[in-house]
Amino acid sequence: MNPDATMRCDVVLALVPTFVDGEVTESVASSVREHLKDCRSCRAAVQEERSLRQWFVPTEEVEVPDGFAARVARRAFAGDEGLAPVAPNTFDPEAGYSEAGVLVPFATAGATAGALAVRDGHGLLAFSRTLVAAAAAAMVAVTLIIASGGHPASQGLGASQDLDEALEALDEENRSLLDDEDPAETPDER
Amino acid sequence: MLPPMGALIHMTSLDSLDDADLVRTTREGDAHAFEVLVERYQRRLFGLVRHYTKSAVEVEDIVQDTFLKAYSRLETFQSSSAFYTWLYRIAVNTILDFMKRQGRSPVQAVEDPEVVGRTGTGASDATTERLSIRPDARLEREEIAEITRDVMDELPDIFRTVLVMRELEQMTYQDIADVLEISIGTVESRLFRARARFKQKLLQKHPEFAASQDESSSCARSGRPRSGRSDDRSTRAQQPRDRGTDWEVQA
Repeated sequence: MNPDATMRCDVVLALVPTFVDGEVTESVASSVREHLKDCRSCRAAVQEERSLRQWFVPTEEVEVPDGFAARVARRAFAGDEGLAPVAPNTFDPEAGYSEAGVLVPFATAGATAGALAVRDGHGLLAFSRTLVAAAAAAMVAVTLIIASGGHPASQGLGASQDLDEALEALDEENRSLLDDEDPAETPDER
Repeated sequence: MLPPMGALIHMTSLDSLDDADLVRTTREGDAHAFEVLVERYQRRLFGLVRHYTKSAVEVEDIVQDTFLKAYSRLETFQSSSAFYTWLYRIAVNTILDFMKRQGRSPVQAVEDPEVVGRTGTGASDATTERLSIRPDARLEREEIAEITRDVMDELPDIFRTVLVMRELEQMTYQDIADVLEISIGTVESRLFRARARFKQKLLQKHPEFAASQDESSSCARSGRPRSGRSDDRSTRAQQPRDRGTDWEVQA
């Protein structure tokens, strides 16, 4: 083995992905090629890199439905702006998910259903879609009412202070009962 | 429904316009100009989106949504940039939104690839790197694509997106950088980690395709300088990559 002295293996190995991608300059590619002629292990690294790329095969061309462009243009000019982006989750590590944050998916689902429902359509189909849209709107409204209604968040459903105190009292009682038993008995023997 | 003859003639004349002119004409209220833009790029967007979902209906919905959003934001398009790059960016965001809506978006990367860089890929990555993994010669093209899709489905969006752009859409680093609005160095490092993660998942799901690296190594593979990606523009090709380069040498 007599690797090209102008380029060390570690340099070549660092360049392998970009080299295989054809994203290095021709002069660098030329130096790498020279190195590969004499360096079996770097060649193996290149082959390994190529092997992985064999998993990405071009698939058959996809069919575009007839009249797609005209349909989209009509909708665009009719004011359809597409679906609104999904709101990111509102997570506060201190407080957990807020009520509104928890309810966002429901509101989004309602809004999405509504938006889908009012997209184009005629006759009976349009009528049913309007009904769905109305139901979706109602769903959004209910969601918002619940969100603003001050219902307890998850932390409100946790153990109350009263319960904590009751448990402590029970522990204390247990401890006094155990103290009344044989004092020579160690906890391990129990 | 076929458009009337006048509209057809008008659209034929619009066909010769470049993207910037079509955008301008669309802004002036010509729906046919927008239709020509849609026709120009619909096939490429359908091709992009089908890497994320098998459902033809979903593909159509996402592409349609992309164009509708593009139209509604046409005022924000700067004519100095490429229309397709801008449109592609909207498409990627629409796809990711769709995946979130469907609850099909895998967990985000727990580590930030830009912060972690190429080092710290973890023990499992180090192990997978020493394994060569290639599709079995008996597999049909569609079978390979199916396996690849299954693995990709489990990758965080950040990695899946660059893999789709590079490996399936065959975009250059520069194009990917433009679409994602990141540096070429970041594209390079993200791709590196995406491939490592892909390989790791592939081996987990299909260990039968792994082949031990039988070549003896005089190079310290474990000492591979991951930081070698760098932003050293002097090593990077200025021209779009040429997949058919003659780098192959005789063993």
